[in-house]
Amino acid sequence: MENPDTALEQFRRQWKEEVSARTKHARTRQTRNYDALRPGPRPGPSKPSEEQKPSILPSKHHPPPPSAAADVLETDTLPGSQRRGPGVADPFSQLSLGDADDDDFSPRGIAKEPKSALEHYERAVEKESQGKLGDSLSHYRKAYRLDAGVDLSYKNKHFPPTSKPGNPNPSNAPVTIPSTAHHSSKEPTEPMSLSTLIASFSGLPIPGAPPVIDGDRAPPCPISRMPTEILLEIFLRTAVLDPASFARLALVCKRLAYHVFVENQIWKRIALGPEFGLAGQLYDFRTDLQGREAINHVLDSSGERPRVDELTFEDPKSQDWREIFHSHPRIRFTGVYISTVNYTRAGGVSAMQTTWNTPVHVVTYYRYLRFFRDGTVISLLSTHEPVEVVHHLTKENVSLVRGGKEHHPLNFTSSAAGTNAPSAQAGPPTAQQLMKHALRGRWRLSHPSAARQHTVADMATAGIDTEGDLFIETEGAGPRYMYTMQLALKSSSKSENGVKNNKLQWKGFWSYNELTNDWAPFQLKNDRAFFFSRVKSYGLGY
Amino acid sequence: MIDDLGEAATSEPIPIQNINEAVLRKVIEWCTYHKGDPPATNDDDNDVRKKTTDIDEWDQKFMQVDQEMLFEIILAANYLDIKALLDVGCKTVANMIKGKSPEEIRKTFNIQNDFTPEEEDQIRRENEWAEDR
Repeated sequence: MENPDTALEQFRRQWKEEVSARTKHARTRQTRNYDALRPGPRPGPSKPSEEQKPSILPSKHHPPPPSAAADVLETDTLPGSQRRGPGVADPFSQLSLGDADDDDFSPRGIAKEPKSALEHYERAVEKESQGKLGDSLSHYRKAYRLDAGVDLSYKNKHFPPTSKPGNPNPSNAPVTIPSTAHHSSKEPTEPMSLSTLIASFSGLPIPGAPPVIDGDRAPPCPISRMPTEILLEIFLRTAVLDPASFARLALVCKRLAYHVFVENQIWKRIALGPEFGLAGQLYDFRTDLQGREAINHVLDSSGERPRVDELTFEDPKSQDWREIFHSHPRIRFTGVYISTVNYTRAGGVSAMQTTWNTPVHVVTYYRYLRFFRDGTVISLLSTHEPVEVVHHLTKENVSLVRGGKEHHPLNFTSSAAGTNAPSAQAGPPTAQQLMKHALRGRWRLSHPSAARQHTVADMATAGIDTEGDLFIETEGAGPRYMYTMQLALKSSSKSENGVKNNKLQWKGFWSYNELTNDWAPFQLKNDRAFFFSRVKSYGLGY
Repeated sequence: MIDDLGEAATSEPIPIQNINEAVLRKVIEWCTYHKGDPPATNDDDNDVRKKTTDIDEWDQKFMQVDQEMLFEIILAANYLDIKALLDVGCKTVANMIKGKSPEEIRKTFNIQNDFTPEEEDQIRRENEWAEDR
């Protein structure tokens, strides 16, 4: 520390040497083409992401002091998760249960330590999307060290040039939900269109499994003897139980795939049904903020809006019910919507030390929204990570927390909640801690009639989505206030086959003073969209 | 009503092909237990609202038979047009499918995978979105 200038020089030299060594190395490995394209390898990780820039800027402007630099070099050689140790293993991975119904909290291949540059890069993107900028940074660094052109190989892998020539920002889609990063649309290269493929499956038998030992009798396969009418009865009931299981049947064998894709009536039942479909969506507030059934509905000029049913989709062209179920705006009850917000703020310079840099704090917080079929919603703002929170995000915990008045600053609702809340038994302390600030509220969607003129297909292609607006009202900071959020249902992936309506984009956020009738808008400077994540413990949301 | 049909209707056996004795005994057992049930409402709207997924406890026990028998019962219920029994049978099978991966479904029902890897991949991509329900 006595002579920072020379130490810094030394570090710079070291860095340059290493970078040029890498470049040479890369040349020998046929990456010449992008060395030519690129002005030169960039040691910094800033390139892959726009979002990250703020956190990186400071280190660019103020090169770290030698000691810090040495640190960086040291940690760079260790993969991030190794450094974290098993005790603080990635919290997302703990939710992994390893079966068909797994939720999104378990990223693919978490157990595998990244080795190649690309793997490091993928891991970095994943970490970044989870809001762990520190881990993400170290993976980006490692990736660039292994291969200076890793961002190009990443782009080639996940965004092949055939789909959209030169997606300028590869981090856009992955930042949203890592698992959808792998779907990249390859339709143009498909050898056979889906409809011809499916049509070729018609009339095939369900193939029975071969005997375990050659020459033995084949195991019984009674389902293969079922007539189509019975198969359809079974499928209909499967679909009502769980549409995901019904869709999975398509992957069992060709005959079942044929039925899954062709049976419009079953999809119609799902799309319009109350379980997962549009009959379960609410277009009017059903309860008051505390979740009690509204006794006198607020009747606006239009009165009660009509239910969404078959007639909403009278255009026969748009009556592909599978597509309607896929793309029509609806709220999901099988999981939680999470908005991960990262922002940076400058820390204070310590007066006691001579340092080269000002510390920058990366602050991460999460907004959680869990919707219920009865029109209520739980809203929670927390710095706790999803894995700690999601399983506690239940109505029981909210009423438990509200039951004990002394625990909550907003005890104005206690007269209402306290009567039916089991205040005697205390919940697990963590749940109580986590849910202390949960707010009760209610939700409704804008009615589809708002977008009557657009067909579903139009909306999917042109992105016109006027009907997909979501209104949420929750308790506010004190008895006199109410928070109002307006969000738009969007899709995180642009792909035709991607998950639709899994993203809630902010349109506005206000605090309403019920006494003075004042609306105070919140600034949405740092706020990010919500993304849906399935949570297995919620079951199917009943 | 039976009188109108004359002597032959009551004395002559009605042939029930396709159903073997064991299956018919099961079907009769089910019918005997459920003979006091109130008639099913035909109101579609009502049907949609009530939770369509539950199977009552006795029926669950009743359906704990091997798969051959289960499908025979379903076939018989369809053949004899016993809607409620058909419903219970199909729900039982639906419950066997629910929550399973395609591979597990194949194992459960002894079905062979007849897709090429490309076809499987294409269909998987097409339906991936449905995993979120």
